[in-house]
Amino acid sequence: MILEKAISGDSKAFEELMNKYMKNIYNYLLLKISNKEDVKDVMQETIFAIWKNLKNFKRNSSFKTWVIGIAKNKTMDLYRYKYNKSFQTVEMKVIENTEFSKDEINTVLDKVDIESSIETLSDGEKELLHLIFNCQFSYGEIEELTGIPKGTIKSRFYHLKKKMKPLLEERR
Amino acid sequence: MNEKIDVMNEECNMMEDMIIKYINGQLNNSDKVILFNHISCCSKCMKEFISSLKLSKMVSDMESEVPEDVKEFSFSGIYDVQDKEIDEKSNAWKLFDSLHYARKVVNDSILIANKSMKLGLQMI
Repeated sequence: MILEKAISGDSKAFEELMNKYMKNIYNYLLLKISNKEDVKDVMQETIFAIWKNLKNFKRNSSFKTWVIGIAKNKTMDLYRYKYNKSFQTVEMKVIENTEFSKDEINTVLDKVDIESSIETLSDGEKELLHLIFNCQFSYGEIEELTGIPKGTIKSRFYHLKKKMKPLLEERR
Repeated sequence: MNEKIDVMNEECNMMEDMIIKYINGQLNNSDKVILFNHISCCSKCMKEFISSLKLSKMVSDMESEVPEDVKEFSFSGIYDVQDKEIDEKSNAWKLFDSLHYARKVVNDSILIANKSMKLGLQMI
């Protein structure tokens, strides 16, 4: 009902509808983009794109999957823009900085083992947890959104839980 | 005995998905019965259930509230466009009004010219 109203161009209904998803979108973007100002800009672009394309929502997927999909595309647009803007300079820096010494790698791995808490998880791992528990997506919906096969998602989640096992078992 | 263990393992595999669905409030009542029956007699799945609950709590604690300025800014794009559209519509009406007025002036002038011509002809 509220979706129909929003589709018909009622901006207040749209705002009400989006309030349900704002937190999911915002936290998804926080995991994807490090700069808060960029998060704010991409958030605005996402909401605007949802508003403009509301009539094209096909209902093949859930509205939430569609909405997060738009946030994902807008994030990609930001990366593309930034990449094109600084293509020349970044390319050299990336090449220079990609080599780590064995000691550095071991230090990082030890750190992950010792501080195995949610803060030390990679952004990809945090994203997976966010999609499963906060967005409450099924493995199928995550596959639709990320393009990663269901089986791979399931196994990544399994390993993630295994990695966090000590922490989860000691926490009361 | 072995058969019983196999059935339990198969059930354990199913429980993993059910636990997530339960936590996310997406499990129907009949599956809830299956889940609770299973975890009441399977310590491995009971552990999995508790760990998943804790993990879910940790992940939801990790979520930040959307700051008010971000909320406001997010919708500003829509309202800016709507204001622009309203302005464009009112400008279109203004143009229509002025055209309508110009047409009225021309019509009036033609009427006056017609009347003047008629008067002129009568005088002749």
